[in-house]
Amino acid sequence: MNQALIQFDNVYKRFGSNQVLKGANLSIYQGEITTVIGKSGMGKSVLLKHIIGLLKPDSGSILFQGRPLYEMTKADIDKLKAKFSYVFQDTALFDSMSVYENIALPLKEASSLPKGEIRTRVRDKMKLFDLEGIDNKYPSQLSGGMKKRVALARALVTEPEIVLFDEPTTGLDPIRKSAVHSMISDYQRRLGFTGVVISHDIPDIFYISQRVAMLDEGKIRFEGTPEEIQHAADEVVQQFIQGLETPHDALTGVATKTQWERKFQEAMVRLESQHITFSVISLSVQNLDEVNEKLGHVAGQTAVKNLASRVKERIGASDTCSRYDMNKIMVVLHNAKMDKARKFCIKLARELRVCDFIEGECPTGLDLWITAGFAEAREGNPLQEVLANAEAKDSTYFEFRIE
Amino acid sequence: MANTLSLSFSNDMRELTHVLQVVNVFLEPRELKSKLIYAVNLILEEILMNIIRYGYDDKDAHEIEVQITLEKEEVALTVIDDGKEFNPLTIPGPDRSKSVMARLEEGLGLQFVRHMRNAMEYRREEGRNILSIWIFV
Repeated sequence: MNQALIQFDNVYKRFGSNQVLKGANLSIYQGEITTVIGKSGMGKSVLLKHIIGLLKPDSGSILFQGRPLYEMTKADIDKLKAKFSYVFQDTALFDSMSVYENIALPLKEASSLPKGEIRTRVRDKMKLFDLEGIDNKYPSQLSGGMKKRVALARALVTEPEIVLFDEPTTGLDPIRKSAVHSMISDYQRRLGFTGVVISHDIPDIFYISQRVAMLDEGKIRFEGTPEEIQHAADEVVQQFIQGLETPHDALTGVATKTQWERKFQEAMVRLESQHITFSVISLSVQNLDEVNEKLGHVAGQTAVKNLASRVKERIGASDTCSRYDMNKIMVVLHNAKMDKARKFCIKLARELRVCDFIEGECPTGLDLWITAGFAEAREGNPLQEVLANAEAKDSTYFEFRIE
Repeated sequence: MANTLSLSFSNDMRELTHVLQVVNVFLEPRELKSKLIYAVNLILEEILMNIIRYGYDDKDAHEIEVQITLEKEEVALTVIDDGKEFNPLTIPGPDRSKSVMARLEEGLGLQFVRHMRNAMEYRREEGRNILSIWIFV
C-alpha cells in the first residue's frame, strides 16, 4: 500500500491521571474515507483533534505524508491546517449568523478572496447541498437535517483536502442519518477529499468507508476494510460491532447484512441436510446518484427504504430480505429454484411504479433503474460464491426501469 | 387471435425487413398504441441488426429465433441466437452529462432499446444468447 497521508505513530496522550491514548497507531490514506469506531469516552475525538493540531501528543508522533508534525515550522503547520476542515458533532453553527454568513465564514477568515468570488463559492455549495433560498435564515429556524447540511456546506466551502467528521449524524432520525452518510460518500467521490469519520452508526459506516479502525483501551485494536472488520476473528471487535448493530436495519426496518448472512448459513444447512433448495436475489438501485442530485439525499434514501418495503411485502414469512449496502437489497428465497427467483423479479418489475418509491409529489421524467441478479445456491457453495453468481453480469442479468 | 408469434430466420440482413413485416402484420390488427408498435419495431431492429452484424465470425448460416407474446398489460419479446456471447446489459447506461449528439455517436441504439423497454433479462445457455425484453402497457 502507498504511504499513508496521515499516520499516528505510537501516540500517547494523558489528561491528568487519565491516560487516553496508549500507543495509538493508525494510517489514513489519501482519497479514502476512514472511520474510527470505539466505545464512548475512549478518546476518538481526542484522536481527531491530534490530526488538526488542536492537541499535541505527550509522546509518539503524527506524520503528514511521512513527515512528523513536530519537525514542521509554524508556517508549515498553518499551510497544512488550511487543507483541513472539521464537521463538529453538534454542527457548531453560529446562532447569531445567518445561513449565508455561517457558510461564508471560513472563506472570509482564511482567505483573501474578493467578495464576489466568496459569494460565488458560497452559492455553489448552497446549491450542491440543496440550501437555496434560505440565505437569511438563522440556525434556530432550521430543522436538524438542514443544520447538518449547512455544517457540511461550511466544511466544504474552502474545498479542503481533508475533512474530519466528528459523529456527524448525532440527533438525526434514521432516514436523515442515512441521508448524511449518503451525502458524505457522494461528495467524497465527487470532490475527492480524504475523510476521517468518528461514528457509532453501524452498519451504515461500512457502506461508505474504505477503511475502518477500532479504538479500544487507548490503542487501535483493528484496522482494515469494512469486510475485514466485519469478519475479524477478534472477539472484542465482534462483540463491539454486534453490540451496536440494531436487530433491524435502522433505515429500512428489514434485516441487517449480518442477520442475512446468518439466514443464508441456516438455509445452506437445510439444503445440505434436507435438500431444501433456496435462491438469492440481489437488487440494486443503479441511479441513486441521479435521484440524490435531482431530489436530494433524503429522497434517495427514502427510495432505498421503499424498495426494501416493497420487496418485503412480496416475500414469504420464511424468506429474508436485508439491506446489504447503501443502494442494495438482498433476499434469500426459500424453497425456490432459480426460476422462482426470476419470476419474483419479473413480478417486481411489472408491479412497481416510481410513486411507490418517492414520497410527496410524483416526479416526472425520473425513472428508477434497478438491476436484479439471482442465483440458486448449490450444496457447499460459500456465500461469496453464491453472491458472485447472483451478480455476475455474464450469466443471468436482469434490469428494470420503474416509471 | 393467437397471442404468440414465433419466428426463426437466418442471419441475413435481407431477411430482417421480411421479419419486421411479419411482426407488424401480427401487431397491427390488435389495436395497440402506435407508440408501442414503434417501440417493438425499434427494439427488434436494433437487437437483430447487432446480432447479424457482429454476432458471428464465420460465414455460415445461423438460426435466430424471435418470440413475441402479447398479454393484457405487457408485450414480451425473446430473441435467441447462437452467436458470440453478448450481454447488452453490460453496456454502461447513458452518460447524461453528455449532449444528445455525443451520445448518438456512442451508439445510442442500445440506449434507445434500454429506454423503451421496462425490463430486460440476459442469459447465456448452452452456447446461446437468450435476451428477454418486457414492455408494460
